[in-house]
Amino acid sequence: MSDIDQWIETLKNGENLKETDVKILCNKAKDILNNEDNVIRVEAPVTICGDIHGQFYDLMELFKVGGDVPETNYLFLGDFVDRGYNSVETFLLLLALKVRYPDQITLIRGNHESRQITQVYGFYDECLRKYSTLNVWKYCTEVFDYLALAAVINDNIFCVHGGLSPYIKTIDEIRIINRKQEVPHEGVMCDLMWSDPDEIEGWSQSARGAGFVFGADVVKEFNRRNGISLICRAHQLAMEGFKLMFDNSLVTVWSAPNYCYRCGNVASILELDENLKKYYKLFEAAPTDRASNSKKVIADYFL
Amino acid sequence: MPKIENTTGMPINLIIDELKSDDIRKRIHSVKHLDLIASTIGPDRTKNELIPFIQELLDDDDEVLIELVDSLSRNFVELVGGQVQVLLPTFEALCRVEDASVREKAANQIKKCLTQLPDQKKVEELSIGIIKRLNDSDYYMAKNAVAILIPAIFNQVSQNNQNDLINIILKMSQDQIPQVRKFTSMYFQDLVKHFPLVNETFIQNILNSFIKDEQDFIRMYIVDALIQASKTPFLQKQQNFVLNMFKQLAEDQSWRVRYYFCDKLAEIGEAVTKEGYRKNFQNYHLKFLQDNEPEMKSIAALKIERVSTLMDPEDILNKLIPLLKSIQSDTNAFVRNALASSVLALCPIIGKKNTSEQILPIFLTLLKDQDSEVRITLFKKLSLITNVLGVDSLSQSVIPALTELAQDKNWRIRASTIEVLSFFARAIGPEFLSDKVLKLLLDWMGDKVFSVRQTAIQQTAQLISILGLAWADKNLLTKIWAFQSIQNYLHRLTVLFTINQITSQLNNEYIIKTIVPILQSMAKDSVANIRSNVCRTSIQLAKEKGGNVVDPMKKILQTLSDDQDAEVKYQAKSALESL
Repeated sequence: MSDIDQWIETLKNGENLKETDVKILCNKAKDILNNEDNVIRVEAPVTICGDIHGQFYDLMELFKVGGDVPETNYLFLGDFVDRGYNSVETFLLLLALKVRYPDQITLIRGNHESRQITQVYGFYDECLRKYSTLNVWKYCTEVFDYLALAAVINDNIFCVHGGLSPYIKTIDEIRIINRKQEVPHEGVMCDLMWSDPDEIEGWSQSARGAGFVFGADVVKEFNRRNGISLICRAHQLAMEGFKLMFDNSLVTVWSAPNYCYRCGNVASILELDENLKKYYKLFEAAPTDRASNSKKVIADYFL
Repeated sequence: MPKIENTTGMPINLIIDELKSDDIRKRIHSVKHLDLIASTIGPDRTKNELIPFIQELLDDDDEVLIELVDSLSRNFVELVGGQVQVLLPTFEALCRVEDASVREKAANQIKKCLTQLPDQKKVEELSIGIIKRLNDSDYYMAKNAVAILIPAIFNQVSQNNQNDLINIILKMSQDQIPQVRKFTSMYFQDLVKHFPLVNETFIQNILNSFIKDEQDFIRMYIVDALIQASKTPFLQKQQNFVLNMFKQLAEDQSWRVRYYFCDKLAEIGEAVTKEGYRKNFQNYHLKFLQDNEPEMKSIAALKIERVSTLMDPEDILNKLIPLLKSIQSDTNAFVRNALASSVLALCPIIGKKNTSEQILPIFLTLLKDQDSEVRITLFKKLSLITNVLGVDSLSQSVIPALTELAQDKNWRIRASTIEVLSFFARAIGPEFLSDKVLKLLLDWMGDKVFSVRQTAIQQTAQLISILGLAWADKNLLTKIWAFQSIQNYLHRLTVLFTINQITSQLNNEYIIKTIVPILQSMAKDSVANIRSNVCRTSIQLAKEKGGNVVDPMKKILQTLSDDQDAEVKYQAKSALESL
C-alpha cells in the first residue's frame, strides 16, 4: 500500500498522522492545488457539500449517504475546520483524498480557511492540543492559500462558499485575482467567502463585518449575464439542510448536522447526475455508540 | 525487556527538559512518554533520578496527573528493574489528589504492585503503612484509597493489624462526610468476601448503619455487599438478616435504590437459589413492572430475560405475562424497547402452544410499534420465537411489518430491515421471496442512501449463495442488470458493485454470456467513474475466474488504457500489468 493510501486509512479510522507525514501531504496538496484556476471547471456528475466544520464523524456519515470517493465525485464548498472537535482529521482526510483522486474531488476555500479566523474558532487550539507544536497549523494554513475560490459545473452552476461581490459582474473577473494569500479584510476575494443572500433589493452592509448582503435582483442579473441557472453556496446554517431562494436561482447547502453539537439541524448534500438533475439528500448526525449510551450514568450527588 | 522506540520525532533530552516546561501541553506530552524516558536512561537512573523527580510533579494540574497515572501504569515495574516498592510513594501521593479517576487508578496500581512483592512481611509492612498514612491525611478524599486497599490485603496481615483495619472501616462508615461513607459502602462488597475473617457482627453492624443512612447512594451499594455475602457461609448463618435487608432495599423510598436492586436481580437470584428467589423476590419484580417510574418499568422489563430462568413456567404464564399487556402499550418508548429486547426469551420456556396464544399477540403489537427502534430491537431477537413457532407461520405476519420498515425515514432502519428479510429468506427458501418481497429488495438496491444500497448488494450475494445462480438470474439479476440504463451514474455503479460482490457465485459460462456484454457496454459510459470501475471489475473477474474469462477482460482493459481520463487510464494500465 502506498503512503497516501495508508494515510487515508489512518485518517478514516479517526487517528492522527505523524507531523512529518502531514508536512509531506500538505506539500503534495499544494502542488496539485497550485495548478488549479481560481474558478475550477467541474463536470457533472458531482455531489456538492457545504460546511463541515470539523465534524469528522458526520463527514463519515456523509460518505455513507453519498458514497465513497472515488466512486462518487464530490465538490466541497469550504469551512472544513473550526468549531467541531476534529478539524485536523477532517481537513487532512479531504486533502489526502484530493491528492489521491484529484479529478474526483474538488475543494474550494471558505472564510474559515484563514489564519486569523482559525486562531479564534478552534483549529489553532486543536492543532496545538493534538501535536504540541504549531507546525501542523502552519502547514495547513499554507495550503489554505492555494485553495480555489469558486467552481462552475457544466458552465451552468456557479459554486462559491459565501456569495457575490459588488465589485464584479462576471465570473471571468474572478479568474484574474491573485488568490494565493490570506483572506483579505475587504475586496472581491473577501466578499466571495463572506457574503450572504437576503430578501432585500440590491446590496447592503453585512452584519458579519465582512462581505455584503445581496438580494434577488443581484442574483438574477448575475445569473443572466453569466449564463448560470443556479448559484450554489454554503456559509449559513440551514435548519432543513438546504434552503432554496429567489425562485430557485440560489441554494444554500449545509452539511454539518446538529451544528456545534447542539443546533439540532439536519444536513444535506446536493447530488447532480450527469444531466444536472438535482437530488437533495438529507442526513442527521452520526449516532454515538449505542452501548455506551444505554448505560445510565448516575450523577454524583455530592461534589 | 524490549527497548521502547522513540517515535516522537524529538530527541530524548528535549522530552526530559519539557517535563519542567511552563507550557502545560508540553509537560503532558513528556509525561505521556515517561516510559520512553525510563527505557532510555535505564532502571538505575529511573529509580534514583526519574522517580524522585516525578514526586515534584505531584502538585501539578489534574490534566497532567491523569496522564501521569496512566503512564506509570504501563509496564513501569519492568522499567524500575522489578523494584516495585520504588513506585509506591508516588502512587500513594496520587491517592491524595482531587480527581477521582486518578485516585482510583493509583490505588489499583498499589494493589498490583503489592501482588508482585514476594515477601509477605514486606507486603504487610508497606500496605499497613500506606493505609494508615492515607487514613490520617487531612484530605478526606484520601480515604477513597483506604476503602479500596483494605479488602485487597486484609487476609495477608496479622490479627492485630486486621483489628486495626476493622476499626478504620467502622469509623469511616460513620464519618460525617457523605463521600467517605460512600467509598466505604462501595467497596464493602470486597471486604465481605473475607468472611469469616471479618466476623458476622461486624458485617451486620456496618450494613445496619448503612441501611439507615439518609443518602440513597450509600444504601444502594448494600445490594452488592449482600450479594457477595450470600456467596459465603454468611448466608446460611444469617439467612433472615440477608433476606430482610434485601427486602428493605426493594421497598426503599428512593427509586435509585430500587433500580439498583432490580438491576442485580439475576445475581441475587443466583445467590439465593431459585426457591429463595421465588419465595422472596419474585413479587418485587412483578411489582416493579407496575411501578410509577418509567425507569423502573424499563429495568424490570429488561430483566425478564434473565429472571425468567428462575421462575416457574406456571408463574410466568399466570403472573408475569398478564402484566406485559400494559407494558406493550406504555407511553414511553424506552419501556417498550426494553420489553422488545427480552420478551421473546420467554418462548422457549413456555412451549409452543403458550407462545402462540400468549406471546404472539404481544409480538405482533410490538411489530407495529410507532417507534422504529422498538421494531428493530424485536427483530434482533427473532430467532427466539421462530425456533419455537417455526418460520413459516411467522413469515406471513412479518411481511407487512417489513414492508413498512423498508420505507422508514431513518436509513439505518432500512438497512437493518434488509438483514431481517435475508434471515427469513435463508430460513424459508425461495417461497418467501414472493414478488412483493423481491420488489422490496430491488427498491433497496435503488435506495437513495449509498449504505442501504451496499447492504442490499451484500444480502443479495448471500441469498444467491443459498438459492443458486439459476434462480437468482431468473428472478433478480436480470432486473439488476437493467440498472445499466438508469440516468444517474450512482445507480449504474450498483451493477458493477453487484458483479464484484457475487463473483464467486458466477460461473465462466454465465460471465461470457451475460457479464461481458454488460462490461463492454459500460466501458463506453460517458461518466469516467463508471469506466474506472469497469476496470476494477474486469481485473477482479480475470483474476478470480481465470480460464476463458481472461481474454475478454483483457480486451476491455486494452480499450480503456487509451481513455482520456487519467484515473481510468491508470486503472486499466496497472490492471493489465498485473495480468
